[in-house]
Amino acid sequence: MHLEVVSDRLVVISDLHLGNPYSQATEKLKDFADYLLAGRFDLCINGDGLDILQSRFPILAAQTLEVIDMMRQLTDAGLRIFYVVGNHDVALETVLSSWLSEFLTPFLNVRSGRDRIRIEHGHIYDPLYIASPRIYGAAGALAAPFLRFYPDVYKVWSAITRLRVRGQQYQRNRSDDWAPPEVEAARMLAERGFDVVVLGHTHRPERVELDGGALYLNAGNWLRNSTFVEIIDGAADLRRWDPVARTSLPFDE
Amino acid sequence: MKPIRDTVRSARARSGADGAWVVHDGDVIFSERDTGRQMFIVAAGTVRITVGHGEAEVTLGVIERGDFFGEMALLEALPRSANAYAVGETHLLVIEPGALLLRIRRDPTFAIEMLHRLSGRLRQSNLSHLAALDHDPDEDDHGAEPHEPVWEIGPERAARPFDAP
Repeated sequence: MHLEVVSDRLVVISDLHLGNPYSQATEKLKDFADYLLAGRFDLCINGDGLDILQSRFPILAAQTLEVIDMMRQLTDAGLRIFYVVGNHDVALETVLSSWLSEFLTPFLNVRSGRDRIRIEHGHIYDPLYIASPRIYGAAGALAAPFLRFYPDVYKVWSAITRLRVRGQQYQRNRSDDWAPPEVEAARMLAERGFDVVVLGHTHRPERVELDGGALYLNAGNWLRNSTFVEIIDGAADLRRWDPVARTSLPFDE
Repeated sequence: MKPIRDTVRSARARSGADGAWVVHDGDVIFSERDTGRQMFIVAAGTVRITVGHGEAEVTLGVIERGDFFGEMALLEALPRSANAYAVGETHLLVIEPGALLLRIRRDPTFAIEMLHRLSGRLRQSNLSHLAALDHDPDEDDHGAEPHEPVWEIGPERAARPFDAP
C-alpha cells in the first residue's frame, strides 16, 4: 500500500461515478486532462471513480475506456495518478489497480510543501454506511431508477443522513453544538497532525476551517458537477472546472 | 535533561479519552524502564528517541509530525525500552491503553498507519541486523559515528520511495 507520498502539485477529484447513466464526468474530463497536463498536476481520484451499484455495463465499459485513455496521457507525461477506494468501487479493486492506477490505496497521506494532507473518500465516517454496508449498498442500487426522474437524488440522501445524525446527537446531548460526521472526522484527523483533510463521498463541495488552523475540504463530485481540490506547495483550494470556458475557477459557495 | 514541567493541557481532548501535552525542547517525555503505558502521536514538533548503550546514549531515531512512539509499552505492558526527548516545542496526542480501541474505532485509518509504520520499522531492523552480521570486526575503529541514528523514521522517509514519478 502506498500510504505516504510527496507531491507539490496535486489535483483531487471525487465521485465521478463512471458507468452511472447520469454521470457527466467523461465529457468534462477530456478538457480537464489538458489542464492537468499544462499545470503538471498529479491526479488523485478520491473514491467512487467507477460505479457498480447504479451502473449499466455498456456505459461503464465505454466510459472507463475513455477515461483510461486520458489517464494514459497523464502517466505518459510523467504525472502520477493515485486512486483512493470508495464505497461504490470497493469491489473493483483488482480492475482499478491494473487499469487505472498502480497507486491504489484506502487513503493517502500527502506531504506537499511543508504541509501534511490527508485524502480519504470518507464513507467510513458515514453513520448510515457503517451501520450496515450491505443495506447501504442495496439502498444505493434501489435508488438507481429514481435517477431517471431526479438525477440529483443524492441530495435527498445527504439531507436524510444529516437530519438523522442531527436528531440522534440532539437527543443525546440536548445541545446545538453539532457538526456533521464528516467534519467531526476531519477534526479528529487534524488532531493527528494534518493541516488539510480532503474527503469526498457526500458529493457536497465544502470548505470548513477547523480549530487550530487546519482545513477541511470536500472535493464534491463529477457526477453532476465538476469541483476539485487543487494543492500547490501545500496550499489547498477548492475550485470548479468550467467545461464551457474550459477553465478553472474559484469555487463560489 | 529536565522532566516535563509544562503540561498545558492534560484534560481529555474532545475526541474522547485522548489527552494532549505540550512539551519543550529537551523535556524528557519518558525514560528507559519507566512504567508508563501511554503511546504518543506527534501533532507538531519533533521527538528524539535514544537508548543507553554502555556509557553512551545512542539515538535510535527521530519522530516527526504525524508519526507515533511509545506503542511498545502500551501493546506489551512492559517497561519503556528507550528514552524520548522533545526537540523544540512539541505537541503530543496522548493515547492511554483503554482509549486505543476507541481511537481505532473512530479513526480506523490510524490502525492501518500503525501497521504500515511498524512494518517499515521491522524492515529497517532486519536490514540493520543483516548489516551487523556482515560487519567486519577489524573495521571497528573506522565504522560509523556511535551517535549516528541507527534507524530513521517519519513521514518524509516513508514518502521517499514514491517520490519519483
